[in-house]
Amino acid sequence: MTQWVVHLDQPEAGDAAVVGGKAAQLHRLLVAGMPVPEACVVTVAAFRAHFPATSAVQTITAVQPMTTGTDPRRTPKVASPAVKAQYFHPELAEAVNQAVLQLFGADDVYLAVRSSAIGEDGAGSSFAGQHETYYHVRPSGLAEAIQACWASLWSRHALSYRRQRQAPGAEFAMAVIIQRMVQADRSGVCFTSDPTHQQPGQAWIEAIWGLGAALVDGRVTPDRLLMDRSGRVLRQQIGRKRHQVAASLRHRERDRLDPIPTYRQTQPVLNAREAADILAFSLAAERLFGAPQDVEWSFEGERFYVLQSRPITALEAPASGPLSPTPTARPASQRGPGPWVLFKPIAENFTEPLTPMTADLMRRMLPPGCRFFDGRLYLDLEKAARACPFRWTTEQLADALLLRGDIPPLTWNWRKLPLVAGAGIMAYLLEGISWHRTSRLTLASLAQYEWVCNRVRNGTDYDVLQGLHRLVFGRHPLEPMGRAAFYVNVSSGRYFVLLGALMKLLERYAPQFDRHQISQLCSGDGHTWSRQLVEDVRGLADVARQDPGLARDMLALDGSQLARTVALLPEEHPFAVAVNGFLDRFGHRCLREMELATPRWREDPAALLLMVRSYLRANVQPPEDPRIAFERAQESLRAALPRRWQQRLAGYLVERIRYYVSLRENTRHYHTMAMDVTRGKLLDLEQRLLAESRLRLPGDIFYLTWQEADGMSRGSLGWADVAADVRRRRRSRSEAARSGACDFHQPGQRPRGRSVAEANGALAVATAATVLTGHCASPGAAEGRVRVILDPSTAADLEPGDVLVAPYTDPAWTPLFPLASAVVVEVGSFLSHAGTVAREYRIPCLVDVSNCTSRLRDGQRVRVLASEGRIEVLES
Amino acid sequence: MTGLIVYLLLLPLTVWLLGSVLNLIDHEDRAPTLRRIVWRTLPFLGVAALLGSPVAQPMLAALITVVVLHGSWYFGSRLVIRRGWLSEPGED
Repeated sequence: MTQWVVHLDQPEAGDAAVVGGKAAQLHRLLVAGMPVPEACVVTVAAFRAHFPATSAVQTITAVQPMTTGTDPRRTPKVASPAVKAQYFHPELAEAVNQAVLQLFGADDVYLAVRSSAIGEDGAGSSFAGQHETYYHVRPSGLAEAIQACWASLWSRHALSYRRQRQAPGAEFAMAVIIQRMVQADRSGVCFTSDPTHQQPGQAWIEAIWGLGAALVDGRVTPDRLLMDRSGRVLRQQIGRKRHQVAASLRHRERDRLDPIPTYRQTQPVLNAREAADILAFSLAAERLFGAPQDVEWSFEGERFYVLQSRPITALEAPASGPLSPTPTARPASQRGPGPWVLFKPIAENFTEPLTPMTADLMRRMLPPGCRFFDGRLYLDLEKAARACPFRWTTEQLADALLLRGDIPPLTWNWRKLPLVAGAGIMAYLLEGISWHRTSRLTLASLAQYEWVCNRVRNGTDYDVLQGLHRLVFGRHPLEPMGRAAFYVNVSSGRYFVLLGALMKLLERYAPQFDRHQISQLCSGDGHTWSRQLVEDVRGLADVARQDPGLARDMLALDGSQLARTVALLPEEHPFAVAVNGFLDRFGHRCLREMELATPRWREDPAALLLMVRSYLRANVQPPEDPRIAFERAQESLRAALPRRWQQRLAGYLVERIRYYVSLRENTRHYHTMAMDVTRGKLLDLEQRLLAESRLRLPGDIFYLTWQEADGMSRGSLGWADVAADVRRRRRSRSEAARSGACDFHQPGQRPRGRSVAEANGALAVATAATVLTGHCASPGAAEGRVRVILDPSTAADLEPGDVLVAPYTDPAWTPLFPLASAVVVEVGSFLSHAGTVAREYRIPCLVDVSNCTSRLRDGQRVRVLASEGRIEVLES
Repeated sequence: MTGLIVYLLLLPLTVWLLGSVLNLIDHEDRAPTLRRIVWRTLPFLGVAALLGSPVAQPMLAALITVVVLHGSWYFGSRLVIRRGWLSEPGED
């Protein structure tokens, strides 16, 4: 009889045709002396004995014609229940029992049962997460677990994946690994080469507490360590690890999450020595297999284990070169919407991929021509090209939308002009009334939005989607405009046109006027919520300073500990009173506030308290009254323009620009309330679904679409219908966050971005004399030491005079600005929040500085020449 | 012909005027808003004084056109978005 069970150290276990891809890789690791947990393998022969080749092939062949396209939902549910019910051969049961007894010496051990399909963990297709793994299985439950593993071959996602990634006729069989359950208290993965191509020659380690399942499923934000291949940690980003899949035997289900104590959430999982050891093992695996590896590892106490190693299948170079196929160049049969281009001016709101729920709800509010790919917003380039009134090629338009290089000359396309003029007149007739109504709104009228938010929050007649519609679009045209904060925000973007007119006026009649003063003229009228936010944070630091004990604690504790300490303060403590007052005004704000899954400051004030700590440490004095600088600049403007009509026109433009800039900042304060209310309603729905056991875990609702959540709420869908989708979406969001945004998307094709060569050149760590370039969002020059802050909720210690280097900024970053001598941001535009606030504080600001957070390092001395769009590295 | 010209000329002015009138419900400062309304009514009065009573019909037509256009755009666009008739597929 062919062997049905082999031990991992037997020579047969090296043959992928006998034990599947994953087990064969583990065998090679074991033979090479790696610390692989003891295991045996139920071979492919056993699978075949249960599923004769003909029936398996027939099943997959029958399914294939129905699995069209890439949408796994189109794959019908087939066979799995039938597979599970198959007869389990008594001889196999006996062989498995014997092997387990022989290997582990007792039958009361806990085991992990893992798939090892033919082709799994191969160079071309990893099958990551497509098949099932079962933890804490007792020997008595092995037969059931093995059958369930086999059944996962027929899961709709595995079938869909197989159809996309494997050649027709590829072998369809699975071995099953039975491994000692490693009681891991720390786990993670190591990529021996950056899977995103951004840091060639460098390795990534991701680490979490507990079992690795939480990381693989994207349930926890891990610590991320960027390392060079010699084992030196180049950058460490501590994730807030709120949960873990405990190694405790209380829980057998793989996705049972336990909360992690607050003090431990932001503690680093690994020290530098451990990270170097993990990398050394991973590089040994890379040498063994001859290709960059993705290695899963665990620590059980101090014992280190390699659980799995597979080639990094994501290491495909992004397509390079210019945008070649213009829409008309494609064959008619392939024409459709797209290609889709990332719209950089709004990219600062979407730097991290949105969760499926947020993207789905937003999609329903957006006009045609917008679409989310991997949680990021793209524009239909074909539609944008049709609407563009200038003589720009598609490539030039794409570059303009991506903010690459200078804006091409604004030469009118005369053929399109009648169409554009007609569209403009029509738009004025349709929308002009609303435009006029947003031209003189007061802060008091904007405050009415709070009433709308309360109405939706407390109204039982609004579900999540209806509530969001109400908050975004209002009810009827006779409602006050203050109740349509989103509309007012979008319409206030017209200050950019007025700014262009002012620049033209000055260029023509006052070429000698100091351009730096324009930012002081146009930086808002000073009455903005952003400025109030900064003043209030400064006020909190002043209150904390009055209690030396509290001030000492604030300087010593991390964000989570701080939040806990403040929560334990008596209600009448001045700092508690001040914080509560602050949260009444700004509790709906947070980082990444457009993301519904993000806890608001009211729910988790850790990031806020870290900012207060920075002020406490620095004792920052209030900046000069902006009105004084404005009046100075206004005097200069009047002096520079010789004619009265020129002065009056410039004065009018300046007044309007200042008004719209303020309006834009202020409406943002209000429309983030809408996101807060929507999040609240989603959390209410989640609570109900959890109580009714229709959802398994908090947070899963953000990985559903609205249609699915609504279906679950009505009882037409259950957890079993969405569980696989939730898992898949968590994983793909995690991968998308790792790989960053691509510039272009075309359905059915690989996403495209800059070429690898370009990226390699651009991403070497900046050394002395290196010059980085970006776009000026606030003019001026400053020198200082670099402080890279990736996430102010875990690290926001900025010393006065530091150059703040950030991946993006949104209003929640604002309190850090007054501390910085200059701000450098990876994404954004002149219109973006970073620029607006920096202009208000007269801090030099550069945006769209590619990969600045990777290229610049903490402590480097740099000179930021914002007006020239350059950063010079002075000391490495 | 005169009526048509008056009608077309008054269309954008009607938008301008109605914007100001609706500002009254936007809780803006009353006095300047009322002053703006008065100023923006002047072109209408001027046209009426210049051309006499025949412009009353085009004026009314312009007013009705703008109200209908604005209202249908407001409700129509929201209905289209609410129903998701033009939105792109949900998942990629």
